[in-house]
Amino acid sequence: MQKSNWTEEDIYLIAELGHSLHLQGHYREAVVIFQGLVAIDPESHYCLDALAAAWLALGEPERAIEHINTLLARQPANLSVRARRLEAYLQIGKVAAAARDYEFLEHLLPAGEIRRLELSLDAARRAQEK
Amino acid sequence: MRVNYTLPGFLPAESIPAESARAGDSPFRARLQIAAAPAYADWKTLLRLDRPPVNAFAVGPPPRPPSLEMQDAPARRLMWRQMLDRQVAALDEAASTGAVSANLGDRRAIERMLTLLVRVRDVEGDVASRYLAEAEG
Repeated sequence: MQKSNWTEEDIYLIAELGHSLHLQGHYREAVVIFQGLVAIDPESHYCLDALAAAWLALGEPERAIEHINTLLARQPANLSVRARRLEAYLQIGKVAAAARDYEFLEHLLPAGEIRRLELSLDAARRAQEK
Repeated sequence: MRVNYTLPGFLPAESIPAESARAGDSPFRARLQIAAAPAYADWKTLLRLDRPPVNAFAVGPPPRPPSLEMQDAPARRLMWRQMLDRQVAALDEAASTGAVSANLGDRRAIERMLTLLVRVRDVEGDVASRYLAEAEG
């Protein structure tokens, strides 16, 4: 949109506030801010990722996955974004899709992080079997 | 007068030589692999506060543009207010002249964001003025 009116510094100042609100648990407000920033700069990797994180925090994984897929279409090898999608898939019970992301991440993420995802995936599988 | 604080028969024993001093011995201490203390840059690194928490909705701070200089809090607040005034004025002008080029969804998202930011600024202003009033008595 009016990207011409907005400088990189403007976007940073607002994103910083959005991040601060997110850290304080004001996820609804963080969503409003990052939605505005994504409208201004749809190419911003950070704003899309932060928006996805805020949607996940609000318990709206489908909306988060929408933004994560946009990011992964641009950067398929982005590990943190893929890990976020794995967790979003688990939240909506798409265990097979989560397992595909897990296979991608298995040998690429640090041991502690992949172990946590593995445990989450195992728990989701067991819950599905019951 | 000189006071002798030691009792006969209870004289302090001479220090026992360290285990490593014993020739041909293999003390347990020598077998221990003692790791050197890691050299941390600061306390935030030591407490691992520099690493974002790992969970599904953790997100780190935005990347700082290289053109933005480090500023103190008042200068930063001024910059923030000027930016917001400029953007609100630009949005109002675009709405009045009909020069809005974005799609409706994007425009509404930006309007919602600016409305929220104006509210945040007003709350900040209220807090600051209350603080100043209390400080002045």
